[in-house]
Amino acid sequence: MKELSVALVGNPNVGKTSLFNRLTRSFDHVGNYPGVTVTEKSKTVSYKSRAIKITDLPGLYSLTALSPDEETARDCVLNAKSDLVLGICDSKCPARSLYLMLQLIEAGKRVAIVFNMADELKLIGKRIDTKKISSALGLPVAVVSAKTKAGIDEIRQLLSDFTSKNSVNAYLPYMEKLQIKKVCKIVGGRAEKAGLNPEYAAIKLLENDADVIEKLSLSNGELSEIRAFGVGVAEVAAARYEYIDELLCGAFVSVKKNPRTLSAKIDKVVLNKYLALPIFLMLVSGAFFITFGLLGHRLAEAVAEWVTLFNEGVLMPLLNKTQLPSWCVMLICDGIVGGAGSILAFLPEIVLLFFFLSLLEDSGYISRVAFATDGFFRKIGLTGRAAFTLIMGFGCSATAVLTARGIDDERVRKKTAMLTPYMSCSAKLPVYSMICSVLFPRAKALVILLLYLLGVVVAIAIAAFTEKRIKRLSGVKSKLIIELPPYRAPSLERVIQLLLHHTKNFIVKIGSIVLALSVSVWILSNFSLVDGFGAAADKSIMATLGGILAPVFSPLGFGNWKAVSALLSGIAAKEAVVATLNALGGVLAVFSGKYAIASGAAFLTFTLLYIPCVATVAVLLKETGGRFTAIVMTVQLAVAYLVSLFVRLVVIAFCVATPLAVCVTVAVAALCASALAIKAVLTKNVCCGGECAFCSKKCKQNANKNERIVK
Amino acid sequence: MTVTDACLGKTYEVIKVNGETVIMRRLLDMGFTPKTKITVGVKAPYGGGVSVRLRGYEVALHTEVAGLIEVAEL
Repeated sequence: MKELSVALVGNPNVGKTSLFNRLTRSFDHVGNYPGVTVTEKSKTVSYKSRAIKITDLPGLYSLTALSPDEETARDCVLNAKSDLVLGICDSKCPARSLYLMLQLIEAGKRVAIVFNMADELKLIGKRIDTKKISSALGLPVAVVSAKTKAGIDEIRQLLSDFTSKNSVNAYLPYMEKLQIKKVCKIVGGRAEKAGLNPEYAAIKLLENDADVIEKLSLSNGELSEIRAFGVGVAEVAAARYEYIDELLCGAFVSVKKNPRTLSAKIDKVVLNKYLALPIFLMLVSGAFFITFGLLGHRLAEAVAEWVTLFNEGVLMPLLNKTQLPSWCVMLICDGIVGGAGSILAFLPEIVLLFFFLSLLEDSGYISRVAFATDGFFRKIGLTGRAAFTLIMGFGCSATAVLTARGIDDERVRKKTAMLTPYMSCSAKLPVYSMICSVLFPRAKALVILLLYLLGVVVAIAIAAFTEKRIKRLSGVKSKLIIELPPYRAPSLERVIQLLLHHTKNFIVKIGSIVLALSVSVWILSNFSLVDGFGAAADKSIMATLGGILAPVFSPLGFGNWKAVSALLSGIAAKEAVVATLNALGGVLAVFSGKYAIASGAAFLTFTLLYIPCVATVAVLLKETGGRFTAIVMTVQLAVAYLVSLFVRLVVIAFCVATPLAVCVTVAVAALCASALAIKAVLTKNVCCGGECAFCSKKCKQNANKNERIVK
Repeated sequence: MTVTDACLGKTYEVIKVNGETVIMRRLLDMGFTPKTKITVGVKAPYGGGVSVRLRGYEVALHTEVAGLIEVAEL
């Protein structure tokens, strides 16, 4: 039998990727917020000896696209030669999902409708009558739950049984009401020539779809003739929804009285004016102290011990027995196991970080963060939607930059992409962890938390600066419209999958790029151009190369070739910094002298802020262009240098002066700065002057005062 | 009146959506069509928007967007 190609199409956050993962048994990134999937992905599976190619697409609300990722999805749907479209619907809000399905049917696609999240349907006390919908639309309809696997086999059966013959064209009664036939008379011939379904072209013309108008190259006279029918976007949308309401009237029925208001209750607390910020900070710092302080640290120590035990107890004696040359034994023990293996110790911390990040994503809280921060983000030329991308940046900068595609305003999209690398990614974590364990053993979690905060603060400062001095974006056209998904508890199955997935990714990365780097660093630092192997480290190739750049970093306190080589290797992958430092004699060999702590702090700051890894640079290049990427890199280097210098001076001052005096000065300075910042932000508050739900009491009083003054 | 003038927690009926085509389109796509019942949820804690429930789901709207939706009391 011929291969069947199936596309998964549906609104954002209805579980297309979850279903894709179930059907193809893969593990693509999912989350409980709209816009996780930004590119199309395909996988071929075979079921009952039939090859089925399944394609997962980004989410859509309508076939009229408003942002780049929607354009990709729409073009994929319309141009793809897929035999069947699996229209994924959210069981809880079938109306909005069916709206897109109707458009797919209008476009002449063969559609099978799948209502996902059936498990949540029970929670809201509703039931979907698939037979009624199926007979009304003339399409196959199924109910599944990607989470509990219920109904997945039925979908597989449906796909393997599918033949293009057994589907009928659906009848859409509202098409007559919209006078589609009259429009067809005008443009029908031309639509067929352009390869479009005439009825689809007609309805898109009524909707004033720029894409279709361009394809048909209509004259102004014809366009005004069509407009004379008096049917526009609003009427078309209303007609579709009226039909859906009719359809659902008998098919989407309450089984019991609506019992679930939990999400609304949680929202009242989480989005409370006085509680929102404290709750957010508590959650974040709680996650931190568990990851780095309580649990992660102990696990990391245990793993590190195993690695050393294995290296010294098992591997070394074994290799010594063989007849390998001594440099080869050293390469394996020091270079490979000592370098790449040492990073393995940070696996628990990284997995824990991803675990908390996924809790944030899966619970639905991340959308509330975007909603709550929109007002603030807007003042620095971003939108609340940027919160998704920036928070993802704590996991991996490269993938996070990709998710910026969902932002519809181009300037905001670029700005968000530019700021994402300042969010400290998980690969930088081993560096912090290693250096802090040695230099700040008692305040490890606190120092790491400060580093993360520093990244965020620098990003906000840069955003505010560019907004004030360089390019004002305050008039951004993109207005926030974000879905707030219901709160969900992640399933145990998903947590286990996630842990395995990140463990695998991390080990693969160490086994490939970090391994290669640490081996080359080891070779470069143990061989000399003049003396060959065994030369003093100071005369090695690495020392010569690093020595050239070293003086530049003297003001920062780490102007030695070892630190510079570590930073250079970090451009390939941040974990490599750890491997390099290990290969060159450990933290204490690099940061020595009276103010080792200050140099270490400056080094950490520099690692946080300087050029991201090559993978991120590549994504930035692709998404924002060469010139913009070059500017971003230059700014990052400059900012990293200046901020590190500042951090070093502060730490030195802290060591020299009495700690108390410095604490007081720093605290006062920080308070003043934040007070000024808050004042600057708040004074821009605009007031409608009327009785509305948005203006505070104070604002109304001000409005009254102004009125009195005018009088 | 528009959603910006609405009371939190109350249910209204949509009359029509005004405004720029792009945003109007998105709102219509999401189901803000005439006669739809919508419930105003919570306000963004630091200003900037309001959440609205309709057709079985919840959506956060920026103040300016909320101002485009004309509603009537039930």
